[in-house]
Amino acid sequence: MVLLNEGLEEAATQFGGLITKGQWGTGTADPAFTDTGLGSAIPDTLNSVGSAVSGRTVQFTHTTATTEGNGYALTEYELRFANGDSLNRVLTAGINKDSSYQIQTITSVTFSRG
Amino acid sequence: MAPVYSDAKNVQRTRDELSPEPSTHEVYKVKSEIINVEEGPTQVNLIGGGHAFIIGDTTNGVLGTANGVDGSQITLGTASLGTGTSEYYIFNPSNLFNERFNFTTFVDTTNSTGTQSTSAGTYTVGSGEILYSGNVIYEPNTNIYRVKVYVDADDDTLLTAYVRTLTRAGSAYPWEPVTLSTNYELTTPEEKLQYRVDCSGGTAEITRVRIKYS
Repeated sequence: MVLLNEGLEEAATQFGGLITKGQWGTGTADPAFTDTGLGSAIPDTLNSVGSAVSGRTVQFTHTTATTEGNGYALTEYELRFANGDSLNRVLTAGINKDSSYQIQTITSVTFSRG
Repeated sequence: MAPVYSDAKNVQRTRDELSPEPSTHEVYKVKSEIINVEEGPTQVNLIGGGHAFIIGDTTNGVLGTANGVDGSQITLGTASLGTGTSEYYIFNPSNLFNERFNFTTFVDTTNSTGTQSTSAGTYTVGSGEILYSGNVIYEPNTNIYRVKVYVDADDDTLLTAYVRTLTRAGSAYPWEPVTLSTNYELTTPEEKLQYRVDCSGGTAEITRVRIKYS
């Protein structure tokens, strides 16, 4: 029995449709496996993500517009499933968001043989 | 004397039911198949306000004759957010950069001279060809001190890997050769890191590059 390349590629494709949104927050606690989302979410940064699949990797792109997240130091980021469950939680250096720029966040997920 | 087959069979059957456990045992071969779900790098880019009208912004929120952050006249209703994209942060889970070559995001496609197949997830280098990366690590206010580079290829004996650090402003230090799968102390710790892989002869197909760092 072997895992086929086309199986891994289809897994990436299907997964691309499961992750629907991304969001920034201001929480600073170290990520833990038991986290259930961001420590402190910024509601107006909860936006849909675009997804692109190539081979066994799916890449998600999230945009925080010039009118969103302003006045906050953005320190954490997540991708979410449609039901609101979080896939991950990324802790970052603080980004002091203001209206002069937008933020583009690109994350990739790859399906591979163990 | 007549054959005693039936008796022998009965004796054998009785013996089978009463005899001790056989000394041979079945051995089950277990082959497990595992699918890994790898979280790759997260790249954060800042895209400038250009000359779009942005309500409340001290520069781009001015009506009348005024220029935006890109120096052009502010225009109401324009979708122009400027062309400036500055890379702000590249975060790798567990301090492990993982390149699978399904995208060109972290490949310097301008200077690299090999061939990437994004569908197959490979980078092929022939004799004298070089794979250059873009920034693969960038954590503001956190210097990188040591790395361990892994290159998965069909023949890594043809390959030599290098790394270099860069300042936040993008000034690059010299390339430093590294021994694969071996810890290496960087000469000049900085916030950004790039790698390159040279092929000395023949052809090598690279399927993965990983860099563990601290």
